Amino acid sequence: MTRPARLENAILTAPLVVFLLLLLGFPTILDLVYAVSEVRFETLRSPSFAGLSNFTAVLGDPEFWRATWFSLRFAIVTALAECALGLFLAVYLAPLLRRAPWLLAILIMPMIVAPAMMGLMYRLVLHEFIGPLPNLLYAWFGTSPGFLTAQNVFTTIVVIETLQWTPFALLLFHMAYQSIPEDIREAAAVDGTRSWRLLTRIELPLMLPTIGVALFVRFIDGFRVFDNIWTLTGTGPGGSTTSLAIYIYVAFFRAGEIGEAVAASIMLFGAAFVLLFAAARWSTRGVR
Amino acid sequence: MTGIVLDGIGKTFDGTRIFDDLSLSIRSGELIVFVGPSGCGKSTLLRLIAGLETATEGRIEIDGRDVTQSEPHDRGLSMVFQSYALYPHMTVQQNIAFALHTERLPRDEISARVAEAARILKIEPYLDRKPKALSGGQRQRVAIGRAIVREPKAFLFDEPLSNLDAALRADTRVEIAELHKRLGATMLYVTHDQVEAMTLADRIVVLKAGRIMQIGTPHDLYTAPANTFVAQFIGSPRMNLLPCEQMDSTRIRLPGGSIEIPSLPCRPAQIGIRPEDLNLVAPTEGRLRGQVVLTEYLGADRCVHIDLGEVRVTLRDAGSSPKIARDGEEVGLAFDPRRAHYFDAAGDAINVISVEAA
Repeated sequence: MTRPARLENAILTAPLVVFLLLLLGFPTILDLVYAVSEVRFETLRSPSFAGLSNFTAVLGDPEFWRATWFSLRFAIVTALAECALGLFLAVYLAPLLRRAPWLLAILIMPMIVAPAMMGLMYRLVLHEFIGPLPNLLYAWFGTSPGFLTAQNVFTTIVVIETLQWTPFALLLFHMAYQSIPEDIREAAAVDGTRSWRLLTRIELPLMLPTIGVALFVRFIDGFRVFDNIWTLTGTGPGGSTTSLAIYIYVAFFRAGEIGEAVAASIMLFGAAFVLLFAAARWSTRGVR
Repeated sequence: MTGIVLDGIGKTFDGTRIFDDLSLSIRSGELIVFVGPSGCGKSTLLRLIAGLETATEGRIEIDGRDVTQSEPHDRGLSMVFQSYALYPHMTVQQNIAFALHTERLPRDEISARVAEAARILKIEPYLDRKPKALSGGQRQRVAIGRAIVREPKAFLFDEPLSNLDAALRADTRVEIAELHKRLGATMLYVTHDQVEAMTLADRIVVLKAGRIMQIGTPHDLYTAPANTFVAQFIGSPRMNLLPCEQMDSTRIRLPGGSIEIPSLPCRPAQIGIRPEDLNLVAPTEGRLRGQVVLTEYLGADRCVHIDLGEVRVTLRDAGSSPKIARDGEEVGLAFDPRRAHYFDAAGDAINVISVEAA
């Protein structure tokens, strides 16, 4: 790279770097310090060095592994469900949306509800004693599945998350589907291609990059899930809905285990970074 | 071998009438060109035949079978698009083989047919490339390859050369003509370029605003245009059209002069003279008199633009002509009235039985 070009790059990236340093620099340094310290709320300003004991404590905690497994399972299941449903809707509704594009605005409405509000809403709707849905089920069928029991709560929150975020996948896939040039479809049609083969051999492969992005974004979003679960069930019956974010929150604010909470968050950050790096590598390879 | 019949086709688009009772019969093995200015409906006509648009009224028959309501994939045609419309995620090989896999042909047969098409079109070196790694001309060949491997009932070409540069366009034009000879297949070709139409067509269909102005061989259209639109659309430079006025039974007045014509079935309102039918003569001779405005030297030819008072005409003669036409010079123009075209006030040709030279 020539010197002027390098200078240009430096000038162009400077605002971003300054912004990131201001935004993330101080908390990151503080996190790194706390992660290797013995610290409580009373000693926030005078942490004492504790080596890697926070990390070993977290790694030795079965609750941490349970929360990690919960977040991973939740993220994979919801990302797959949202993308599958969104893809189906984008293709199935395409003729309708072409004639009435404003319908899309209605379809993406769940996205504008704050996730915490979503959790609160379902907490009322599904409440075993006062909730309208269990009451209606009792009135009509004499039984209700018990949406928030330890047994069913995972399915319930997966459904809630999927209902709220399928529109996001739909929106992405709708854009990708509409951006496939019409003449490619026409060429395939004249060439004797029927609609199923058109979808599987031409349209889906052309949408593949978008499908990858949507899966990735929804996976990240599902993995870091906090607010809707927190307002719906908290840590859940027997800790059954403790996501990794909830685990860190509880360790920090409830138990005051600041060092352990921060150590867990740093490991989460590390895992996310590795994942992001791998995804970036995968997507650039896919482009070539 | 496939004939295509259009019978009383009508098409309305969002309340706009595009075709009204259009009928046309395309013979088997014929290369027919739809030509006309943009917006004349030539591409829509092709898309109706392909099944990409549905006719509001009328019948379309391919090979004697009524396909008016058939889906595009049931019509057994191949189409080459102006944009080429290659599948971007497939290699050249996969692009060409795609329709054959759709038909579930045996693998040996598919690879044999792809290899044959690649050989004919000279695209063998690029078979493993993706379309975006190809130039415009190479993409064009792949699109044609994709069409020929299917051995379709008929080929549809929608302005296939419009995105190529001039030299490549001329080469590809010749190749399409050769391909037509080799395959002997029915081909329908849409273009706005009258040179492509003239060089390729067995018959040309000239369209204007959704109406067929004339159907005929290139020679028919050039020597006997049915109306002033066809007269001026076919041929370059355009045919000169001069308003004329009957003076008495045998003479008509033209801008810059008058000519004698004995027997016409009705009174001509306009007379058309091809640029190459005009000759430069001394100002005192000839039938018309005018002033040279500009000379364009094209090598083999030259075009001389001459002012006849209210109208301007173009004359074409050999670039090596010894007659020098300086700008602003007074010149005379000679022409043979038997080679002129006569039109009535509505612009339709008057069938000249015998026009004797004056």
